[in-house]
Amino acid sequence: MNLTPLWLALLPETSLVVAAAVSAIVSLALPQLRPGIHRWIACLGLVISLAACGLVLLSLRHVLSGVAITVSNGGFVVDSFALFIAILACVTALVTCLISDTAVRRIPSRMSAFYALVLVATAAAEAIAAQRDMVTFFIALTLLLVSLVALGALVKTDPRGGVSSFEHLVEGIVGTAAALYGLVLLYGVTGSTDLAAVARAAGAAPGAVALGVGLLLLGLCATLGIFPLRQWVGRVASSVPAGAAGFILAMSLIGGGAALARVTVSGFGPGVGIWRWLVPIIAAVALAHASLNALRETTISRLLAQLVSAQAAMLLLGLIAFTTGSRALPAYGMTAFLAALGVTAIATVAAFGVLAMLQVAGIGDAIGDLRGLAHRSAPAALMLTIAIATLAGVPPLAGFLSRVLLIASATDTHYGWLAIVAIASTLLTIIAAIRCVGLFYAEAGSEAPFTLGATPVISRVVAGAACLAGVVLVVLIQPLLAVATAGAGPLR
Amino acid sequence: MSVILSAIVWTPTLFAVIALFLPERDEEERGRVRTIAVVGAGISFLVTTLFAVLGQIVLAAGGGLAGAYQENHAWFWNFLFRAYYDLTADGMTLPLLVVTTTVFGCAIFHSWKIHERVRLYVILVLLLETAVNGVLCSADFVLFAVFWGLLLVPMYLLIRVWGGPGARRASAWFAGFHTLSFVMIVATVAIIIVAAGNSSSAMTADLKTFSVAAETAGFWLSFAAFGIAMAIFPLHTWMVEAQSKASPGVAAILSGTMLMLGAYGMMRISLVVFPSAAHYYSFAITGLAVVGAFWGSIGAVRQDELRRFIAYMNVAQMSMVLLAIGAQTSVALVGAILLLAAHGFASAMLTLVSGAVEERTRTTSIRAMGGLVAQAPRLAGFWLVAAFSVIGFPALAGFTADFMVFAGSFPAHRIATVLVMASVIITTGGLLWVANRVFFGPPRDQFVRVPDVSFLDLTVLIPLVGAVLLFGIRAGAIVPVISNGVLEITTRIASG
Amino acid sequence: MAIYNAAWAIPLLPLLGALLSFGVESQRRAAQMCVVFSGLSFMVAAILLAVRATHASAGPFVSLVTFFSMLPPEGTIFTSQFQAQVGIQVDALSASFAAAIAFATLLVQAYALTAMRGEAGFRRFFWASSLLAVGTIGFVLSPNLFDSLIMWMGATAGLYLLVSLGWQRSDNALRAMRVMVVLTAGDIALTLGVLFSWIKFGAFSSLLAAPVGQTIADPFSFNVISQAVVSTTHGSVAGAGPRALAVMGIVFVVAALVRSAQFPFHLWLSDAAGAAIPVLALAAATVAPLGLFLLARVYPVLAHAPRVLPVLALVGAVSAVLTAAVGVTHRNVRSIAVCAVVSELGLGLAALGMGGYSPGLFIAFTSVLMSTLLILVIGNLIRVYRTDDIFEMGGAWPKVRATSTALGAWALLACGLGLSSYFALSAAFSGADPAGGRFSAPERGAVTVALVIAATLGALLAGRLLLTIAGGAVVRRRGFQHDRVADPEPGLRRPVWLALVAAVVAVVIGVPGLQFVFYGNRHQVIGFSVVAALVALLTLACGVGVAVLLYAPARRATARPWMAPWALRALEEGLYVEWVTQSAMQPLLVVASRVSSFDDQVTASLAASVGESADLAAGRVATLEKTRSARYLAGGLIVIAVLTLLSVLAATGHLWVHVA
Repeated sequence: MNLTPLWLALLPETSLVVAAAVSAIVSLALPQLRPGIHRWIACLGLVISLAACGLVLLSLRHVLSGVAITVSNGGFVVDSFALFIAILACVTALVTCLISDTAVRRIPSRMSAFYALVLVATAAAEAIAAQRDMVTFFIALTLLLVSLVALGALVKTDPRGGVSSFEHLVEGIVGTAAALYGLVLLYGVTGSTDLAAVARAAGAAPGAVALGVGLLLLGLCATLGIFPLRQWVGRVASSVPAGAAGFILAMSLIGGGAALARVTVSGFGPGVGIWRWLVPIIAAVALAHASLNALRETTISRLLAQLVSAQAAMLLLGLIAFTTGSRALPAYGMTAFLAALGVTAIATVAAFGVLAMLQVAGIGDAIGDLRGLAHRSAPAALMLTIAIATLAGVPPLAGFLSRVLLIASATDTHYGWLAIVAIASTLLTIIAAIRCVGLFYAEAGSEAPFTLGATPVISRVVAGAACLAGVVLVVLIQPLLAVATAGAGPLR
Repeated sequence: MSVILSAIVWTPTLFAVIALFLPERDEEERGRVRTIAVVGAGISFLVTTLFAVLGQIVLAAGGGLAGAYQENHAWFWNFLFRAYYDLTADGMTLPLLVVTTTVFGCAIFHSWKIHERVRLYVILVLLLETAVNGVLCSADFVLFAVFWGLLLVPMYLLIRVWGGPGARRASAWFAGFHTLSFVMIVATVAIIIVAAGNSSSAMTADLKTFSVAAETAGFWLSFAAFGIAMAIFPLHTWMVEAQSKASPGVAAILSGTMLMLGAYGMMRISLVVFPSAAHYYSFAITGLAVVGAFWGSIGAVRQDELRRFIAYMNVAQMSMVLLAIGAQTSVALVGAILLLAAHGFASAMLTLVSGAVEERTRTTSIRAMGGLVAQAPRLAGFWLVAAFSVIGFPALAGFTADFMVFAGSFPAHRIATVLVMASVIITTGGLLWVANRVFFGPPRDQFVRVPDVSFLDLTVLIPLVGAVLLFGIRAGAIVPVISNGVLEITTRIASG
Repeated sequence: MAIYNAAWAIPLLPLLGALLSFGVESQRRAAQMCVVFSGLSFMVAAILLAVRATHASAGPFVSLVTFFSMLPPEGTIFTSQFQAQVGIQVDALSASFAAAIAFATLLVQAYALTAMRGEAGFRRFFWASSLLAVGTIGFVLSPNLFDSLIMWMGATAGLYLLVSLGWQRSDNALRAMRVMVVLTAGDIALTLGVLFSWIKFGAFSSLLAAPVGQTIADPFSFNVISQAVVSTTHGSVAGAGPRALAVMGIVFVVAALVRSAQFPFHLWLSDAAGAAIPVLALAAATVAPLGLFLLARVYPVLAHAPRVLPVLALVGAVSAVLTAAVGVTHRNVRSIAVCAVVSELGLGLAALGMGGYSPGLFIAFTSVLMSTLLILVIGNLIRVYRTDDIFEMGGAWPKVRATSTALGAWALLACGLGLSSYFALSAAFSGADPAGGRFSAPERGAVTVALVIAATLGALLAGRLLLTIAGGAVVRRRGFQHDRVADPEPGLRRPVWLALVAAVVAVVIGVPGLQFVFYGNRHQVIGFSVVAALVALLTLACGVGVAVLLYAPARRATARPWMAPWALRALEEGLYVEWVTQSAMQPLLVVASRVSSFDDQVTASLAASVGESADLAAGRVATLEKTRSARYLAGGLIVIAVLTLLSVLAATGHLWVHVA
């Protein structure tokens, strides 16, 4: 039974697509309009989408199952998980739209396309979260990839941007191909495109199922941006203008996380054992790889990328802790997963927003160029410090707290060794972050002071607010956890 | 629900935020920034002392744990465990709070000697004060870890930015060791929460007895973590580096409060949560204490830098605290808390005095100094007072502390106690030898123009002397308070 | 009696004087203020002594203030409430010693008003000596071991402040440090004894009923300890036996030996001799006798502990012999004075050890004033002759009449008319073990022999000092107007006269006073021992005789005792104690430098290893990073091809597709 009318359930995605179409039409029909209009169109679409999500949630408040509507016999589900992801994606996109004009200022002609792509990517991420059918799931995944790659290629101002987008495309395609093959195998075994059906047929052909699951995970690693398919993260971060790069990373993180959660937890579930020892291994390797990389990065953007990747790998700890815990109580892994996902997405956008300001102010990308930042522009140093610290899990900020939640839930479900790996990698990331931050406050040397005046006020305010979220979410972690628990409900 | 503890903890942060928006273009504006900082630290200090006095009255009346001084709000609960914003100040915490607020006040007064990046300095110091007071007050494991983590970055920056030559390396040492200890604390907290299995991270919740594996692992993890923080024997190198390279005010904070925090955490967590393991391994702990006592006191003798010498003295003092922790008798633990307070004051004094000496003689080498009494007799007096307190002379804070530590440890570990007492002789020799080489001896003509203590030095040092005398003479007033707080530990050990 | 509460004033008045002296502008006024307050405290002490003398046999008066107190929760280790109290105890012993020490302090301070005029540490000497007086008098008046410990360490600190007066010279500073370190060793020993007695007797004391006006039976108090010892000997104290008593006794004896500067610890006193004369006087007269006083307070422990008393007696006697022998050979008048004081105290320790409680205390009591006298006289002589070398003095009798008279009086007292040798010998001969029983013959024999030698050497020392200084004519040396030699100004003479009178009075009233000083709560009956008297006279005679033979002005040229040159050198070197301690320091310094260098190496190597491992890991990661995306493309395609086959295999079971 469907408590929610179909139009309302589909409104979040449709509003975004419509807004994208509108801004495209506007740019074609009335080219003389000032390009800034497109930003506001996009924001409008996002707000509408947010409002729609809110309305659905409102109708959901009495539903225990958390499922609002199920379309095409379970292929497309709008439940509280999907809504959580949708809200998160919309907020991320909104923040991006508000701070990204430095990235698009140099390409006024392509501004409408930029915002259209942002909207489409957001819609794709929302759709991924709502999929339980292999085909549409795969389509949404590809759509996300393509739109993000196009986004990266669109805002390129120098050849490097194109190259990096190409690499992103290549890696993404490898991943997508792997995922496709995995899905094909699973379909071949189960004969159904319903992800949930895999669990039922796990016993039939364990070899094939194992292979399929492995391939699927490999593919999703590419989307999530963790080892082994994570070259593109660093490249995109370093060569795409930061305003867009942040969005690409964050949205890809959200989409990949949603996909993983849908596929593994609510799809395979405990029935398919293979992924529950495959994921921890991936997590351990990815954590070690990312955090070791973070230690030796020399450019701030790549450092941020490594930190994001490490945090993404950290998310897997929550993913595997979805059954009952050590004391036969339900484990809160998914809650931690979603909460950490939210924190990470916001922190990513915030960090790259600050980075964008620095780029506009003409500060070089090398960490050495940031020496003495505190004395050249105190606010920039403050914001960047908070953002990096949040990403790296430096206490007492929200990133650290989310890691504590993840590690505790992993320990609770007998993944102690993984917890140890996670703690060790946290040590590395913290050291990397502290080293970088220490440089900000060292002697300024010969570098001249500068201001962030080149960035519009609204962008500064929004970016600062996003950074501040890293602090505020420590105190107000409970609301986030409550929402995350609700979002994790349908998955358990 | 009183907000008095929150006031103590968060007032410095509040004033740090205020200072954040003040300009510091010329000396007048810098003075304004410093004044704001002093007000913040001062409020925290006043609240603490008043509150400590009140709490002392309440506790001495036999109230047990100070229920009146708890603040307990649920922090988050939609999770595996419930976490609380739970601040508690019992008899163990109160004297240490007095110490920390005093030392931080002195450190901020000391900021008048700093002329570049004053705003950043005071902001970091105030944040650090929040972190330290928060660690002392927090009665929730997650909150404890969060506050502990808040120490890292400010202290790192304070050492690195205002330190002398070689401060980069020292700060790197600090960051490395303390991040390590911090993640070990996080691991301990995870073990406690999961293994204790009452889905709550409150320290007051009665913890189930752990499995032997969990108990041992947790104990050694926490012991190593806090051992790093209190710079006991094998893990003291970072402290020597930091103490000798940081600026005097920062070094005073370091040796006055940081080491204390380590010892405090060891009592609060290693002893309270893992009593049976602590009891089982008490022999190893006392062994470490003996080695550390001799290591510190002997190693100090040959140092040529004034503050490296003080660092080794800290090692020796902390080994005495460790002896009490190994003995785990109530008298010894009360003595340990007193000793932490005494050491906080005394070592802060030694550090600030040596900073003043270095600033006057423009050298850190003891060899290059000498005969300073002629020009700076008061300075020498302060040094002697602090040294006598460290040696443990009556009417100074050190005496009661040492006596109770020894009295409490003697029944438990006789040989170890006697050995540690013997090491006091070497400590005495070291302190006086340094006094000889720095202050006594023939006056040198290159120091003829050296001034005696300035008004600023007095504002920094007089409160410390007062505190040392107060804790030494009126120890009787504070001991019942502390013993009320220590009661919890000893009962746990007795039951565990 | 309520008047005894005035005893609080005896230690507190000097403290008050010291504190007030800071508020005074001129140095002289400050000094006078300290002297005035010391005088007040002496008056109070004298009054109390008089009052006490009227009813000698009354029990001790105790008034206490709790320093801190806690009730340890665990019942296993600490059965007693841990309550440390400070206060005063007025009985015959404390009253008499408080008066003596207060008087000595007063004299020395009065002397210093003139002697130290215009010296660098003038003001500091006075407040520091008042603080020292607080420590010494407070120790004498203390009712329990805890208070004793506080005052004992306070005396150490005060003495350090005094000895470090001459800080301008590095060797003085070094001496001050050595004094402090040696005394701290004694403090540690006392602390250990206090703890040990508390651990052993705390349980016992918790069973006792609290005295009137007190909350608990103070486990530290001497009274409780003596009760505990008695019932320990009956085996009725759990966990304490003869062995515990022996350990306790040894620890206390060590503390006492350090404090009363017995061989080889006399080092600290001879270090203090390097400082100004008033400082030396205070150290020798008011600090050193405290060792004997401590042993008197804890005498029950020693008495009932097996084999402790004989050891004490032997150590005391031997140390008396050695120090007297050293003194006989020295030329430096300060060292000679130190040796005389130490051997005197050694006789006292020997007397205590042979069960002569009251005789031992008599010697301690008289030595307080005799040492004051001796050292003030010495100070005058040094001032007059501007040298420390006794062979550069001489001819004092005709020219420095008053001072040499005082010196002669002291010499007579020290030769044996001061009765110290008599009492020591009588104790040795009677050899009555206070715990009942008697000492074994070998012990008594050894101690007696040592005592006889010590007494003889002491007499010799005194005679030598007197003859070399007083006899003959003033030695002529360059830059010294020998015809200007005359008595110093009155400010230096009057204290000497007072000290002389006091010393004589002390000896005179000391003899009946023996009945006044109790052991436990019973008289120790001291009969007159003819043998001891005869032997004492004999030693006096031969000591003085030898002195005359050797040092009569006529024979000044051959002024060398006949003995083997190595022995002579050994004695002149003070039996190499200083050399031994110096060389004992070296290994410590070596170890210290090893330790610090080790730490530095650890730091460096740790840094290096961390750096290398980080580079290593980074390198490994770098190799992973090298792969370019083209290779990814190729690899991806290959993987896809392989996967195709695999998937067909998995789906159909064989690698080709049926076209059926």
